[in-house]
Amino acid sequence: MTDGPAEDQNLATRIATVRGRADVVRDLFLAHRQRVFALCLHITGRRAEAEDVLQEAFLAVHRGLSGFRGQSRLSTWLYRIAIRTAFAVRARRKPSAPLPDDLIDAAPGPDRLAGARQQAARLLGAFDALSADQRTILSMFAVDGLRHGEIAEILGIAEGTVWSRLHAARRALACATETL
Amino acid sequence: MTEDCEEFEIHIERRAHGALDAEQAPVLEAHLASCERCRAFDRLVRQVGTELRLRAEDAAKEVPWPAVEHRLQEQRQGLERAIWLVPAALLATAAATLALGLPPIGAGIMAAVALLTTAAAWRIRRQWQTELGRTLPNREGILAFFRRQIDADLRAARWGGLALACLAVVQFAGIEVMGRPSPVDQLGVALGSAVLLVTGLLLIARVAPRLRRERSELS
Repeated sequence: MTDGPAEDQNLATRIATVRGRADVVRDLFLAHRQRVFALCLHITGRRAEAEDVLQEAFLAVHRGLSGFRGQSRLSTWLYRIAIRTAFAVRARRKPSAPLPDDLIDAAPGPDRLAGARQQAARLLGAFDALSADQRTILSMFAVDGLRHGEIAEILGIAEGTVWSRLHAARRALACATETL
Repeated sequence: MTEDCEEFEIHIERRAHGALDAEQAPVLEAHLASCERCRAFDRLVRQVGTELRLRAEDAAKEVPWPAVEHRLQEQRQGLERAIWLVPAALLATAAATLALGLPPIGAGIMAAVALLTTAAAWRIRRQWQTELGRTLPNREGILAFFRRQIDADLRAARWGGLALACLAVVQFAGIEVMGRPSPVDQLGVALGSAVLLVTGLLLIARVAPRLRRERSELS
């Protein structure tokens, strides 16, 4: 499924029926599941929570789809809802609950050297300690296929602000890795 | 490090995401050749991108996508059916009341409640859809929508919790006015009261603070 505004306009005609809405959600799911999952994973830090957020976001899209008037991209809306839901999931977690390191352990394959693995673990540990906003902007740039214009649209900020926020987040990460 | 390093760092970000102007590229290259700090920043930018992508790809391999899609379909269909479950249950109870030969007033009350519940559920669903649909183009609109949802949930948790706790106390006190109930009746009422009390306290002590945290994340 392509994802331009014109295509979304076509989608708007499909959502008039219950069956059409189900098809649209399915198409959206197939087209965006990997990216939405990656974003949710980076924000929550847990695979199981990222799966839950993914489902919750698509359900929210399904619930609100009949109100869609084609003013913006469906995918933009989906990402906004996913980010909001991921933030909510983080907030639901007990404040004292630490982020798990299972993702860090699971990430490298057998072909990666131990030194590089350790370095990657340190970097991801520092990333997980960043604020939710900083994780979000860094994650969005790391998700394949999301351009800076679209990121600005999703976050509701100017393109110039996107770059300065990204830079601030990256500097915070650089400081964190230096202090580790 | 020079005063321009911060500007070059943003150029590095732009280059990493294919958004650097062609005329700025050689200027950046020349600076990188002479600035170790910016080279380190460049390495960090590349490494972060790579590691986050690897982490997401590896985690995504473990996701049972067909199962997730299936669950999503089930939940979606459940949402569409859920609106009819409450009135259906009430109408079934009303029918059973009639079938068992109990006074028809009970069945009439059930039917009225079913009608009102269906109308309320339908109105709430329409409101949800319309409001969420209206917030589509605007991120602030979506955040405001979810804030209102959380506020409504928070009110429901507080007042619902209080109501359940009060109901539990009243029900438990009712044992006294039942005369001489059998031990089985006493046990049933006590258990019912305990369940109501625990649910009410959970709403107040667990759900409400969680919603408040969630609300503050959105502010």
